Amino acid sequence: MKNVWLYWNVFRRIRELGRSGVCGELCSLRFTWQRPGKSASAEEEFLYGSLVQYLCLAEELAECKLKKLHIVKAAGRNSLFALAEFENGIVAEFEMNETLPDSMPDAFFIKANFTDGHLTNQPIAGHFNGEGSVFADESGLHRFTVDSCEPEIAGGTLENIRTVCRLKGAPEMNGYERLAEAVRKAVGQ
Amino acid sequence: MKRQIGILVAGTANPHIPGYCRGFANDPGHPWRIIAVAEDDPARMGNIREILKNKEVKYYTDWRRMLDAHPEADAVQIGSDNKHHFVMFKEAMARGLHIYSTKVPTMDPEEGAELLKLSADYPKTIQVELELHFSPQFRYARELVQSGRLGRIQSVYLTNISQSPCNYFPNWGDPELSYGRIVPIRPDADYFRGGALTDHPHPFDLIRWITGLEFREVYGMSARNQRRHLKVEDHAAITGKLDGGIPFFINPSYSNLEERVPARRLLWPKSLECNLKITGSKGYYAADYFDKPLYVVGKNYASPDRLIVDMAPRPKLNPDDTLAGSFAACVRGERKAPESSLEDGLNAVKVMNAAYESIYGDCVVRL
Repeated sequence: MKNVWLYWNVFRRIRELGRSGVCGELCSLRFTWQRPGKSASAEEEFLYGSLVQYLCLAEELAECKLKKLHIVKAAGRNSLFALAEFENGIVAEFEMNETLPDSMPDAFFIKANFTDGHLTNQPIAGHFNGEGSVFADESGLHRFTVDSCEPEIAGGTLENIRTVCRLKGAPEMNGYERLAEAVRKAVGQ
Repeated sequence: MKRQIGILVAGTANPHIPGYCRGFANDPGHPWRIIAVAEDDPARMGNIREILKNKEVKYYTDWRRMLDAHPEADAVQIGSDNKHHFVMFKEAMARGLHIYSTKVPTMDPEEGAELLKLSADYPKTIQVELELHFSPQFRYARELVQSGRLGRIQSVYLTNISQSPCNYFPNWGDPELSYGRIVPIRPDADYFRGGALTDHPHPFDLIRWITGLEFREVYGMSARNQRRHLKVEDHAAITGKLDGGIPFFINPSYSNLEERVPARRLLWPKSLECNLKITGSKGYYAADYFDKPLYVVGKNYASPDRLIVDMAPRPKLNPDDTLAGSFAACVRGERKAPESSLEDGLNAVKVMNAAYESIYGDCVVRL
């Protein structure tokens, strides 16, 4: 069977660096596969195509054969979590979800944890390497930060700051006239 | 300013305790007044004395003597190694104190059952430190679920991955002090329960709290340790089903590496990966604990000369809406029930022990 994911550059670089020993010995892996529902494959393809191909990548990185596999799948949906152990004690975790709202993009990540380092393309902060939370439904993809346990403070940066100021009173700034004058001079007024 | 409640700190072995002491030391409006601290480890006591040096606090090496000496205290904070929590709980209840326990009341099911029985009609507050209830992004997740905006829950994913604190809190890597007894992680393993899974009850609590669903089936695996010298597990991955057959995934590991020095110095830039993803029939919500990242590189920063993900602070609107503040509000009678109870803490422990049993027996454990 072909496995197009063997051409995935992130995987290839992780494999290369893993084999080089720069991070020590591999201990665990996490694979993320997220797709919106509109891109979902048939269940057969999901399990025996996508998941098997991802397992193949895990075996390549573990450099060892699969010893045991446990899958928890949502009934009737392309959504599962799986745990795989390899004969050398490396464990791989799989999150595969093709039921996201259509407003969400694809996301394919690998995180590899070694005795002396990490290799990953997974965002460090947040879902998209940005501030705030993500809520998606069929109306769209919404990004906002939730502040301070007040249900009304769930917005963008400016909206949240303005709400806090309404609740606490906006702080005074020092030196307005001086700074405004500097601006006036700089713009030549 | 509302009345500060008087707290006795029984044990500082838990890595969170210095943070509470710093909070009290630096904030004149702190809801707690730390009256006394008991600690029999000279190094830990030295650290606490340094933090509290500008405060009038009494120090003891014996926590029972501390309780004897301060009948005026409102509450005791149980901050020792987990192994000693049970006896401290019972003593505190015998003395009629309000109790604030660090995040694992006990890992022993029999001790847990006895504590629940004893606390059933206990007239004072017992709060277990499950601080992620106070993160607004996780509260919002709960509101989304309860409001129906996500629809029927279809899957839940939650990581609670940190660095290992065992370099700077070596007691945390002692399986007996952490888990309460010595049990190999697997029958053939040379390391033991009491590591990352014991240290991270939050996902087992948060999923219940956010979704209102109970854990029904648990299956876990534990990879070979990244830290070969560690005597407790530094990796666990758990999956299974909640009520209604809903799949969940939890990773509560110490997978993010730190420098092997006796100070908290990170290698992986983020101290905590706490990522929540809830898929529902009508929507999807994802939130990160570090949802207001601030990237720091500083020669004099705690992890020097590295790119680190710090967090921009949130505005404090209601001081009672914090771990310490909500407990104080309970003690003052202003709040009916603690944000996270003893029962919440023990319900999380029940699932954690099921995960350990699953790893040990390589089997699905049903709850």
